[in-house]
Amino acid sequence: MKLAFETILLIVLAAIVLIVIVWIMSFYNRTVSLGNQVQNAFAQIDVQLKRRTDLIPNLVETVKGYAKHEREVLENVTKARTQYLSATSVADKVKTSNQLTDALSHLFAVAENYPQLKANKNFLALQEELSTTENKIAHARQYYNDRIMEYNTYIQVMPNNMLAGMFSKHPMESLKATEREREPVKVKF
Amino acid sequence: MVTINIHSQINSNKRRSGMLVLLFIILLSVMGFFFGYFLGSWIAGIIIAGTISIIYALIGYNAGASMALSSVNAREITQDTNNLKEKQLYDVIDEVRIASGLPMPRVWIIPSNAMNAFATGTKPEKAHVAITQGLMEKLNREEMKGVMAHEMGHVKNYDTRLLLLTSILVGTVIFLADIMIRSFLWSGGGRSRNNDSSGSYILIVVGIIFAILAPIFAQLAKLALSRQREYLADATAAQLTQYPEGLASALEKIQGDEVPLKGASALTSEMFIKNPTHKRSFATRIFSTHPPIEDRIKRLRSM
Repeated sequence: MKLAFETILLIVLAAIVLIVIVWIMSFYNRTVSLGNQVQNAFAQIDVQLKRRTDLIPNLVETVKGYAKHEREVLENVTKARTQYLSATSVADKVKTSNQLTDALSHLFAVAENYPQLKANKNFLALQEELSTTENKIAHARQYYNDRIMEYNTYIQVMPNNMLAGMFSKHPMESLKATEREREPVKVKF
Repeated sequence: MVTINIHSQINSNKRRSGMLVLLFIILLSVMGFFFGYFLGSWIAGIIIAGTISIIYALIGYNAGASMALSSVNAREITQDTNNLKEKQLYDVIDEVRIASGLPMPRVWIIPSNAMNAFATGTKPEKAHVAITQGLMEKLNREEMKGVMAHEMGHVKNYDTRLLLLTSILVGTVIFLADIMIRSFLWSGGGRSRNNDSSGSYILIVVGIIFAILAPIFAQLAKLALSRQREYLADATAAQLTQYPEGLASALEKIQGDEVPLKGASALTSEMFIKNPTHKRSFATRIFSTHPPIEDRIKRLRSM
């Protein structure tokens, strides 16, 4: 049976339409999936940040026991923590978070002068906890930026960029290292 | 900023895992055919070979990780360890896995003075990483982090699954070949239920040669998994830690170590960061997929 020209044309057109639909669907679904990964990554940063603030009261108490005269340093840490917890905007949170990092570094630098404190197992364990938490905060941010880069790349390459506008998929902004973070932390005595 | 695209390596490893399984199914079928011919029915041969292989492979796949770990007397550590150095080990692994987006693997310490580490597991959710006591003591925190990042790189890239599969499949081929040769010897050699005696003798001889050569072919198949793997795990480590010098410095320390690791066999040696057996024979170098350490250090320091 010989197919009429019109029939063949119809089949080809239907196939093209089907392919286009599948392409559009898979693009959209992938952006959803990548976008969710970005959101999840952001939440992970908060998990680490919370851990840090939870650890601090214990640290302050331990140090107080051995280094009572360092009241100012200890108070700075507690103050910075409170300020961080009460920050609301993202910019504020970043600023207070950095201030907290500074206060903690200062505390650990000062602790070097107290050999009994340095030998204290509790203190060493806390120091390790806090330093690993700082690292984890940094790595969580790194992972978050990686996911953002993946999302942005996906919506910017050809031919995906043609669909991106249609679905209002715009590039997300990654976390930039603040000026504060780029400077090595200077400790003053 | 250190960035590399390792998606292609992950996909390549997954593809290779599939192709490897296919290759071995073919290899085992052919062996089964010869076995069967010797038994008088090639269907029976393939069925028997198939059953033995599947059971052996399933056990190996599911127990492979724990077998590797117990062969070196590894002990597990958790987050609640009281030992500060062990806690640091756990923490650096946790830090690296956060950067990679993977779940936390199980962490093991090998009670040996040798300086080595390995990763194993069929998938990231079921991964294990291990380090020797000797290595742990001699590295500082950044170096330890570099080494564990390298191991996590293997987990992330699905190298561990590929290696596990390879080891099991090679083991299965060797196991089957062993059975075939023993059956042939016990039956008094050369007797077949076929009437065509001269033709059947030739076939049996071919079968025996095949049984002897198959394990060697299997070892060479391992080679097909190129040294790419190790370089890429190094690159992944650099990207995860954003500090290639950590791993480079650790490799320098490892390079000088001459202590062999007891318990590491030819089958498990591939999983280690450095070849644990120290045999300098030609055969070891041919069959080893470990690239030279100086080269790896150079590449890391150029990143």
